[in-house]
Amino acid sequence: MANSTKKNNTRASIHYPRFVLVGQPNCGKSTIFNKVAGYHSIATNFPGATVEFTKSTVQVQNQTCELVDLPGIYSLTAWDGASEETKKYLLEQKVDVIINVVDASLLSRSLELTIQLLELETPVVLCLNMMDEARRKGVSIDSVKLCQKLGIPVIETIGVKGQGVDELFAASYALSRNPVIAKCPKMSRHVEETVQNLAADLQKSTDGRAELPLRLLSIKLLEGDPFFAKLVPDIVNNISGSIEKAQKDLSEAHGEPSDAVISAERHSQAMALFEQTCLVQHAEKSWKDLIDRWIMHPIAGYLIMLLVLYLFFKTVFSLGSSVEQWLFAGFDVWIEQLSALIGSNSFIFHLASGIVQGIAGGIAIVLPYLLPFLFGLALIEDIGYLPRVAFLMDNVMHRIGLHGTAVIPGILGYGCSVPAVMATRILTSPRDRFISSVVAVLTPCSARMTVIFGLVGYYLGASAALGIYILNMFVIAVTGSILARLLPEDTPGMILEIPSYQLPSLRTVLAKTWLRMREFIVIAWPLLILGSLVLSLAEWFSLDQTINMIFRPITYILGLPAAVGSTLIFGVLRKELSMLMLFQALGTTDVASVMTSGQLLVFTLFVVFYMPCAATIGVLGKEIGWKNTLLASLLTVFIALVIGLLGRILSIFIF
Amino acid sequence: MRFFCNKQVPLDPSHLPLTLASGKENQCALITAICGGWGIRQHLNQLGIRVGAIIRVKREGAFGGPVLVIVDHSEIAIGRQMANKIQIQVINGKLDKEK
Ligand SMILES: Nc1nc2c(ncn2[C@@H]2O[C@H](COP(=O)(O)OP(=O)(O)O)[C@@H](O)[C@H]2O)c(=O)[nH]1
Repeated sequence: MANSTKKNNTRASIHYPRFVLVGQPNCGKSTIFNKVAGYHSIATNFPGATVEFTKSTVQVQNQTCELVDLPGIYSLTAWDGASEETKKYLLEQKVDVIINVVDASLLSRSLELTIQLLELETPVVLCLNMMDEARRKGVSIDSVKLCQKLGIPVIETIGVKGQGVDELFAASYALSRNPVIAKCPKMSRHVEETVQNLAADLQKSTDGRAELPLRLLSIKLLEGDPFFAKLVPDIVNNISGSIEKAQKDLSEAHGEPSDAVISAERHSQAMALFEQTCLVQHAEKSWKDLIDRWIMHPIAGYLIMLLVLYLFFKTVFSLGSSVEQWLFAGFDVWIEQLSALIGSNSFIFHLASGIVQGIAGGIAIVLPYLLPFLFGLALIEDIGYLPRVAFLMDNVMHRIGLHGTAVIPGILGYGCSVPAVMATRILTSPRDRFISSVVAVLTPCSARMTVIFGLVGYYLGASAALGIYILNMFVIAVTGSILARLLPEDTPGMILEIPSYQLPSLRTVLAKTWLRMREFIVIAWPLLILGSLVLSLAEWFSLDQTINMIFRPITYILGLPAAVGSTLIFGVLRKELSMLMLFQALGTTDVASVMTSGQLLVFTLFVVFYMPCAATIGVLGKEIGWKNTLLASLLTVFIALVIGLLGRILSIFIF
Repeated sequence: MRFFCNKQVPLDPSHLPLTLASGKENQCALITAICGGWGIRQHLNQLGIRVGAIIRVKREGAFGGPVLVIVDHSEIAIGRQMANKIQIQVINGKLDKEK
């Protein structure tokens, strides 16, 4: 996976000071992480970008430290899978310093998280990021006063420019050498008393051996947080009477459920801090609001969205196909020369042409499409367009039983299914996650895009390629709505923060493109060359016949040449492989000379829909369980067969 | 339009308080009640959507789409179903922008 660089278990012998970045989604954690750790983690402008934690060792004042970037959380009450991850990490792992990154332009809300982090009784550094943004919104912050009020170091930063990042880590390092645990700000009298009384009860019932900070536990039990109740079931059983009584006390005295009392209390604490330390003046009128008038417009918004998508694919296709044509001609000449040189029947030629085909496939077919595609996707992500699309698509998604938030994994699926499946963690209900995982898997990823563009686009024209995309959307909609009917559930629907636009920085976009490209170059390409070699060997020893026999039922139904069978196995390893192996299996890069247009279309359709690739199966298993993975995979094969067959019938009429 | 509270009892719309789903563009409103389970209430609270909070509707949900509200300088999209469960009281007069 691209966005996790797991270093060896550093707990082994030496213990490096461990800093963790904690903050609300989109506060700029990944940006800061990348500034010091190099580009490991993918910074993006939408909630849920970081769904797993990323670790790295960094040098702070010539000392090695461990830095962990955790998924964004709004509070210590988990709502979705990603924030659950963060909460578990904070409660279970040894952390030396929590670096609480906040978006300074949203300080009042962010301080609520800060207050909860203090309850963890771990040293905290407050990082006021996006100071430029705050200034623009007319928020000026007296960070000295904030530092005095909270009793923790407060550092102002502008993550994208790297401003203040050195000071931030210097302060964190100093704090780790000299740990100070700040006092939690007090709540109003009655609530504070209730919290402290319960904490005292907890103290008694655990004999002071509690593994969690008592104040935190006391507050969370008062809130009735089921996660914490499950964490310490014995204690909760022991003193369930006092917990219930305390909850009742609170709700009777304040006329609201106890969790609402606590959260109102926390809010007023944060507001008080905010009002004492900040001054809000008139915001500068920004181009950002103006743009949103149009981009989120109920009618123009959709037109703009279609235009953006059209331009995006159009650019990728025209760039890709012009380069492909030009490169391909070169490789064909090469292979011809090779066969003239060695003789096309020798074993050596088989080996050599296998390798050359593998290399050619990577350079000529995959890279020309992949590079502009990934660059464009990174650009769209970084600007912050995706959550807007989620907003616009919410009502459409309701038609297929999902809601707007599920669009984000869907769009990411056009890049690669792996992060897309991982992004389904931003959804709350397991049912939504299952359906959108299936949707993500059916979405043609960039590997399948190269197949669509490289075969159908190249031989049958761009409009046919576009047709496949539209057909795909239709299939996704139908599949989604059938699944939604089969698994009815009342979900709360979309609740999504729409972050403000950011001017994309070329460096981040390039770094992200490279990070995803590297995946192809390091893993897929060698696999591709190897696969190509294996296939030419199999051909030499006539093994491919056996494989083709096994796949004969499928190829027969679809009306494809038997030789195509073996390519389907490779497609499960990596989707591009099925196309590249096609060249190898048919012994030519000019597929049109061997297959009819209809066959090409059917082959592409089948490859687009059948079976997720090996890497995707891996994450699917982790995210939705192996049984569901098997189910989803079988479903895709079924869909692929149906669509392939329809394609076959259709092509009789067209071609 | 049907209204549901967490008790799932359809109510007579004429006696009902306004909900966020009927909020108009640029209207400022006070949130008076949020119907919904513990998890949803907590999550909305975290985002600043809480009883007593003042919000501004930035974009009303067209065609059954979500409502976009501004609260504490941040923008939150709320699906129509959920918006139907958030009761509001419209505040007249121009509000000091989002403060
Ligand atoms: N204006 C401004 N933008 C920033 C700053 N820091 C980060 N960003 C942008 O904010 C967006 C979200 O950042 P990211 O690091 O992905 O946030 P995360 O979700 O907390 O990891 C990205 O588009 C960044 O380029 C900053 O100090 N000022």
